Order: sequence, then structure tokens, then C-alpha cells
Amino acid sequence: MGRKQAISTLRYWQTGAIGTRTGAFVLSMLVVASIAVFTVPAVALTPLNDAQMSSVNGKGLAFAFDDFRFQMAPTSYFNQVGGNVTASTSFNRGDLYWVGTTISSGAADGAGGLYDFSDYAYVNNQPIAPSGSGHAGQVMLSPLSYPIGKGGTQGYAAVNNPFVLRVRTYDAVGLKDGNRSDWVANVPNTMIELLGPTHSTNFRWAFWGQVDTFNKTTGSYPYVSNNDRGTMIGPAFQNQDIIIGSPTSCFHPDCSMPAGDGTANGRIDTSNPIAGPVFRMYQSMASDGTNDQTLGMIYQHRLSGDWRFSVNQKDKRTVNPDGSIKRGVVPAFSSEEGMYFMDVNTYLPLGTMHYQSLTLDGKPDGNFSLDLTRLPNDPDAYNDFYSAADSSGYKRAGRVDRYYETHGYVRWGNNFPTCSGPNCLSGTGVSNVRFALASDPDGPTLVVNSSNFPAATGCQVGGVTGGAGSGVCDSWDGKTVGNVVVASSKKAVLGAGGMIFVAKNGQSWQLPNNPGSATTTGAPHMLWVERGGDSSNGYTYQLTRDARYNKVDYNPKVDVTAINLGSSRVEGMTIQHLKIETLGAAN
Amino acid sequence: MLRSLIFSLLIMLSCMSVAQGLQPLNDSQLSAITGRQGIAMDFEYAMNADYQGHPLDVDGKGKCVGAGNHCTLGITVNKHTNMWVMMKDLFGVQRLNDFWIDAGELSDVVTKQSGLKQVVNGTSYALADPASFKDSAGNCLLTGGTTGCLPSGLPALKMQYKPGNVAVTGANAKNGQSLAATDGFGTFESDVEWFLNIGRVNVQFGTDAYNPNFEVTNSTTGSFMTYRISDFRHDIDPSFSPVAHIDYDGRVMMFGF
Repeated sequence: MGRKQAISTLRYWQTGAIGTRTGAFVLSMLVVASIAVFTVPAVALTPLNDAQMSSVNGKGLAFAFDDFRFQMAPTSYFNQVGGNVTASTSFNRGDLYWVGTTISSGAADGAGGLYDFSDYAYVNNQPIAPSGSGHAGQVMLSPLSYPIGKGGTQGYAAVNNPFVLRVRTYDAVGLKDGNRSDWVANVPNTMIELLGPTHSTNFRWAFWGQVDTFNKTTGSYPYVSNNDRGTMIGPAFQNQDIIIGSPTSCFHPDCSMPAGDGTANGRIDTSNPIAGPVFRMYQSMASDGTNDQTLGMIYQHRLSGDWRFSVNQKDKRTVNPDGSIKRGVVPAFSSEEGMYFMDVNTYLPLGTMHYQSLTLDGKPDGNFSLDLTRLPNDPDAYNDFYSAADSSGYKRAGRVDRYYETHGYVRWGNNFPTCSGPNCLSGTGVSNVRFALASDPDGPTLVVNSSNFPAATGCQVGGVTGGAGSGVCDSWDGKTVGNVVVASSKKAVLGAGGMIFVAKNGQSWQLPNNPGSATTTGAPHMLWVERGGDSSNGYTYQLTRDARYNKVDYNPKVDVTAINLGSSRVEGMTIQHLKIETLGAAN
Repeated sequence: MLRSLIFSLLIMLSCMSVAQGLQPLNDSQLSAITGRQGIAMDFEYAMNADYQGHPLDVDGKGKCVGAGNHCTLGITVNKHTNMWVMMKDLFGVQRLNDFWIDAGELSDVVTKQSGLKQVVNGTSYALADPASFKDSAGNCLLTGGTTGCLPSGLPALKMQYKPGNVAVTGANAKNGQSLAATDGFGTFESDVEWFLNIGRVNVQFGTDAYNPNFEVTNSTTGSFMTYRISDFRHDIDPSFSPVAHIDYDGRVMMFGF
């Protein structure tokens, strides 16, 4: 923007572009105040001497949040606009929108209220917050049912654990001036770093998204009209993302293991296992000339919590009769449907001091690249990077803390198989919670006892009576029945953690009870238990078993409303080299 | 508006004319000064746009469109000589409304946050981390008003936007803590209004690669990114302002150590 433009813009403001008289007055007084300060002779000021200056201990700046809350209007967005389409590619243009981004309370009831994006109204073009407590107090499947909490993030960046911005010098494997090809230990490098809180209570982060695709475009912004985008392909894809968690995770993939001490960032307390994110900027070190001594960055990403991704909407408010999307209408997403990732714990280090950095570069064709520089082929560098061996060789257990700084991991869920071998990744056992069903075809899974089969209910399971195989109920005392199909509640399915898919409210889909076998058809094979007798001769169970129950091919199709796909983990992740390049500028 | 400017000009002139007559205040006089309630600020910044965010014809070439228009911003970094990341067709407006700055006591907030804990695998952990305030040798960097190398007694700069006027009390309160009207949780205020259009982004090489006309003479009009911050209501009806509306509640406490 040229100087001439700056002046002409200012003139425009002065002639009335500023919205209110009050705003203009305040702006004017602020300008006057700043001018007045400089016109008054500074006769009373005296300079600080060295002794006074040395007592200023400016080691860092801290930023703490107090009930912090961030809310965009539910139609306001961040937009990544797709590139123009040319005849040489089969791609179509796609526009991405992140809409209504919000950071609010992670409490189950939102600390005063829970809302959908669609609960916000507009009056005279001004968003209006919903009144009352909204959906708080309603029966809901989980706190992930609704994206917006009324209250703020109470414990995110607390005063005693804030964001810290500071400059610090670290000694690590690096390059010295005069020899930019030999990596050696204990090379100092000064960097500015932003440290996120190491401990945080969970908060709610949500947005709704939209993807528009077009078959052509005639140009980039500003559009004269929406027709300039080209013809839209299909309806817009609208979705909702809700995360309840915090940007912290365990230092070790196994949260039961505490962190050590003497770590490079010096910010992990030995008494607890949790660490926070870090972003650093400094002068990079690299063996190749392109990435050496330019802007270098490190980002240690951490995240823990639960995430729900959903697409189902309660109604068709956003849809025109021809199936196109009504732009600007906020969708009303349903409260249960979606893909859930529960008990997530992740750590991804992008860069390692001082031999691997994120750097920026450009290409002659106008494109841009982001480079996580290559791990140097030097023993000082790669031995530090891997930190997985000592004098006795490769270690599968008892690794040093440095290993866990350079190796990332992703876990969702905590139910992993137990193992007894010396080198296996341990677990507490796989959960037997599989799915929630619309109905259980062989009846509830129960132990035969007087509590589960009291006289009042007639000791009855299932609906098929008669048939061969009767027996005295006492012989079945303590046995489990109805356990060919074992159903759980939706809450239990979510509570087991891992990856879960939940159908939209009131809907289901069919799966074989045992996907490894062919399904059986016909009437259900029931075990029918009847309790007979009276108190004078002791109650007895009269067991009548359907003959077909003995068949081993009993494998009905079940109506599933929620399914747990299990836990997953990837550990020991390292990136030796990563380069991301754009292509659009060359089109 | 004109009267405000004249008033401001007179204030400025009067400040200059009495400068020679100012006398320093003594401690007794200074201690009698009251009314230190902080400051409130409105801020507005427009780049190549009018108050509504509509692009201006800054160079006679059109409203921030077309090759060679002057609505650009170039960025370069060390070691990449004559390499410029160019943001083109750049225009927008940002307004910060009723931004308050005041002094604050960290101890008040510490008390409010004292019972909060992070739960991991069923184990509760207090939020405090003294390591945040220590040097690499483990020495505490905090001075005065602290215990256990935690900043609870320090003063801080308190920053917030003017909150709404709805309080949340009684059954809707949480953990015995009512959400006072100063928290602003019950209303939506347009604390920040922000419209940004970055029409094209590419990388250009040359001693004058930052010059808006470079792309014309060198045929470098391609782009790998277009980015926009706006609101769907403007997309439907251009008479609506294109700004995105953002509401901030609560406050940020800034302190040094």
C-alpha cells in the first residue's frame, strides 16, 4: 500500500467514515493525548542507572486467561478459497469454510447453558445470544452433544500455568560457525519461544464447516456476483466438529509413567506426566545452504480429549426445494450422530533442537514450500534423535526421556491387549463393549439367579416357548444366558473409549452379530427360562430350551445404533524429512 | 465530527501553550489523585478499503483487482535474498470495539482458580506449574509477592472487552460461582469486526519483486492460495457489511517476570 493511499484513506475517515460520534471523539482524544504527552517538557524524568536496570528481571511475559471465551457469529467464517480450474486437470475447485468458531466451557452443562449454532438469532444484522440455559439439563448422550457452552474456559492458561513468551538459549547438537557441516554436541542457540500451559482443564472448541465445489471459476475475489464462481457441483457438504479437551498430553504415551527431569525444555515437572505445546523461532542450522541460517521454527503439538465429527441435521432448514444449499442459514445438527474419537492423546514434534527445523522457501514458478529439514547423516545428530539404544544395544523398554521428546505418538482409547512378553507394549485388556442395539434378539445377557429372575417376572427371557431340552432351572443357577448377542448402551459404548460411530437419533443399521460367519435366518434361537414352584418347597427354575439354540450357526443380523471400533495407537513416530509444496501458482 | 476535531485541536494547543508553566507535583499532591480506572479504546484499521470494507480504487486500476494493482503486501526472511512472499488483491478492515485496559490483581484470579484440576486416567493434578517461572537451572525468576515460585501476589495488566449486561446466577451458576454481568456470557457483543481479503499469494524473485507491477513485467500472476475472513450474510446480500463478528468474554492478565 503506497503512502499516497494511506493519506487518502485517512482523509476519508475524517470526513465521516467513522461510525459514531462517540467513536470519533474517543479516537480524537486518544490522538490528542498522545500528542500532549510529547509536547510537555519531561523535566521530572530521570534515567535508570545500571544497578537499577539490572534489577529488571525481564525473563518472560506471561498471559493468563480468566474465564476466557471466544465466539464468532454463527455465519462468520474463515475461508480457504479453491484455485481456478484449468483444462489440464481433472480437479474441481473446492472452497472450505470454518464457520462460527467458538471456545467455551468444557463442563458437561456448559457452566450455565448449552447451545447449538442454530440457537443464535439475528436482529438488525446483530447476532443475539440465546437466552436461558438452552439444552443444559436435558438428557443427552454426552457433553459432545452440543458445541457451545455459555461459560468461559475456567482453567485454560490459569494464572499459575499461563502462556509464557520468553527468550532462552539452549545447548544442543548443532553447527558452529566456521564449520557448517559437522554436527557437535552442546552448541548454544538463542530462540524466542511461546510455551503453552502444561496443565489445563478441558474446554470446548467447536465450529461448523462447509465445503463448496465448483466446476469452473472465472476469477478470484472480489466476485462481482456468486455466478463468478462457476456452477456448483452438488449440494454443499456441511459438518460439525466439537472437541472437549486441552492442548496438553502425557509426556509418555502411557499416562501412568511420570516424566523424568533434566529435559531440554526444562518445563516438565517430575511429579506429573503432563506436558504442554511449544512453539520456537530462531536462526536455523542445516547442512544444506538453502535451509541454513534462515528462519527456523519448531512446533511441539499436544492434544488430549474427545472429538466428535458429525453431519446429520435435525431438519431441512438449509435446503432449497431444488436441493441446493441456502447460503447463510445456520444448520441445526442433531445431538448424537457422528464419528467419535474418545480418550485421545497425541504428541507430534515438528522439529528438534538444533538439527531439524521447519523452514520456508519459494520456488521459481511462484509456489511455496514448507520444509522440515532432513535429519543429518551424522552420528551426533541421529543418535540424539533416536535415543533408543545404549551401550548394550537397542532398548525396547526403560528408554530415556530424550526418546519421548523426539518421538511422537497418537492414541485414541486405552483398551489394548494384555501381554506378558518382555518387549511388548502393555495393555489393560480389550473391552468387551461392542455395540448398542435397537433391540437384543436373544434377550438381555443375564446371570440366572433370583435377583435377575424374581418370581414376579416369571423368570422369563425371550419369547419362544416349548420345545425340547427342558431341564431344572437350578442346574442353570449362576450360568449366563442371552449371551450370544451382547448389547451395551450408547453411553457405555462411548465410555469404553476409542473410535465409535453413533447413528442418528432413532436410526440403526444392520450388521451380523459375528462378522466372521454367515448370518442365520429364521426365528431367533431363544433360551427361555421360567421360574416355578413356591416358597414352601423352594423356588425352582423351570428351564425350557429351544432346540435350535444348540446349533452353532446361531448368528443373527442385529440392528446397531452405535458401534465401538476399538482403541488404536501409533507410537515411536519420527519424521526424518518432510516437504510440503504448493502447486497452484504454476497453473 | 468537525466540532470534535476543533475541540481536540484546542486541547492540543492549550497543552503546548502552558507547557512552560508546569510545576512538578509533590508526593502529597500525587497521593490525592483518584479515579485511576484504566482506559477504554476503540481501534479501527482499514487497508485499501473504506469503512464498510469495500475495496478502494487505490491506483486507478480498479478495486484491488487485476494484474499490477497496488493492493499488495510483501514479506521476506533472512538468507532468502530477493525472495518475496507476495499477498495480492489485499484489502480489509478491522475494528476493536470498547477494549479495556486496567491494572489487576493476580491473587483474585488465583483464588477463583484454586480448586481446578486436570484429571488424567483418574488422577487429579493441580494446574500450577512452578517450572513456568524458573530458569534452565531451576532458579525461580519471580520476585516479590510470590510463594512457591508462583505469581499469585503480583500485579498484572488486565485486558478485556466491555462485557454485556446479563448475569447468570442461581441454578444456572456453576460450582457456586455466579457469572456476573462483567463476564458478559449471556450476550453477544461485536467486540471485533474483521474483514480480510487476500485474493492471491505467490512467491516472486528479484531485486524489485515486491513492486506491485513486477507481476505484469514478469508474468507472475499465478497464485497458490486465496483467503478470506467474512460473513455469509454479506455473500447473500452485499448490502450487509462483510465483516465477521467476534465476541470475547472474560479477560487476559498479562504480567512480566
